[in-house]
Amino acid sequence: MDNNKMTGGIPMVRIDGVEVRRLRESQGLTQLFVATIVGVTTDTISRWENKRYPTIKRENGLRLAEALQVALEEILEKEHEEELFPVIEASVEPVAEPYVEKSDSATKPSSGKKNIPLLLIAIVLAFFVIWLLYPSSEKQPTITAKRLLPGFAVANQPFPVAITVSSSGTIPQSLILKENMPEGAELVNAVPAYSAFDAVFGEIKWLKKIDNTQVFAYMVKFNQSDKKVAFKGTVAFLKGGGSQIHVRGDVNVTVGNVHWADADGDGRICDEEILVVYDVFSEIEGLGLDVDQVEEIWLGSGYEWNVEKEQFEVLP
Amino acid sequence: MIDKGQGMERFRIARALFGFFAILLLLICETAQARDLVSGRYISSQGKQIVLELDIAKPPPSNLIVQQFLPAGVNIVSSSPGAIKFDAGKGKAKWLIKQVKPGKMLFSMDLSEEITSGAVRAEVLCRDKKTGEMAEIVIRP
Repeated sequence: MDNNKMTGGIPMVRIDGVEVRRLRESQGLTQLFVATIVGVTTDTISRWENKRYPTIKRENGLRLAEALQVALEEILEKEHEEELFPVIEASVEPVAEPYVEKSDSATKPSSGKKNIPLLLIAIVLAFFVIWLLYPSSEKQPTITAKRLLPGFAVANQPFPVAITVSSSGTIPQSLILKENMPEGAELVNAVPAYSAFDAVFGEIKWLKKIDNTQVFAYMVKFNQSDKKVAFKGTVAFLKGGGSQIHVRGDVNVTVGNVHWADADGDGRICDEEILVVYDVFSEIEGLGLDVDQVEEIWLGSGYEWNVEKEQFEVLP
Repeated sequence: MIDKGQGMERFRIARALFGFFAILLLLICETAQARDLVSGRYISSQGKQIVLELDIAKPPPSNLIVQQFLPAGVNIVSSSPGAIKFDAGKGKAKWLIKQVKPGKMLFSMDLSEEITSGAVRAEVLCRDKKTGEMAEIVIRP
């Protein structure tokens, strides 16, 4: 059976709705979480899961697989399921039936009502033991996100933005970081590579599983001077079925004639300022930062922005 | 006799107290770490050669700025490692050490003229990776 089809020139795939639901639920992912990553509504996710083999765009299939952290092939309709065992399936029960049975069996144990009190006691005991063994911080991991943003920038000169996301949990945490750049911002580079980018709304999206701390960084520039712009962002993650926090830290940048590394805007780069540049930004590989230029300015007594030449001039 | 609710409450209080003291201990350790990122001493602080030894803690700060202050007018003939900047008028030499490794680090300077002990001092500036705070360490003979 061929899972890849073309509809009006768009590559399509047939996915296994039941498998999608199973994978999503086994990882404790909400439909909202998956829908956000794929870029569709929760109704669409629900529709896909409730149909046996819905046909969807291959592009959406890839995003869905990414959200479920599996290869695309794992959520596609299985070739052998119907072709190799059609007789067995037909003689027992329809394909979708076992899953209905499973959901029912979770609430109605087949061993009878007399075992219910014993089961409840066992569950309560299990929860008590877990509560004793693990500190509350592990049960409810705390996610924090802080943006480090220069206070100043010069038009058409890229500057770095770094968002540090930390999880207090001991197990890896899946999250979606959404960063909304202000109007007029031009994304130059992002590390790690973004999962999605909407150039119209200036929205960068990362889907990532983090162990403890992860720095998300990007280079951005503005083509207009003399304006103050504001950045904002959110982090969506799994906590009690799904939660969202705002990225804290620096928000505003004034685009003028002050170098981005000159935090206090006094026309020179001091020792503290260059240490921040080296400690925070230069260690992010692949960001494309011109650290040499910053060091050159630091070695001088100051700098001036030459508007005509569009470059910084270091004062001796 | 203590009922179950009181027992649980006591257990919770004991756990909260344990957590509080654990955090307190952690904070004390962290503060000590921030203060002790770098320490140092002068192996030689007079004559025509001065040698400064830094002891860098583990984990080390990522980068360091070391400033050596000499009497005004005294020149540095040579230094190891080479200073990135030297202002003879102010008697100030500067190093920017990147990707610092833990352990001992020596700064040796040959001077144009002899100096007396007590006429030098060094300042080390680094950033605590965990807190983001700057730490300045002053070293005198």
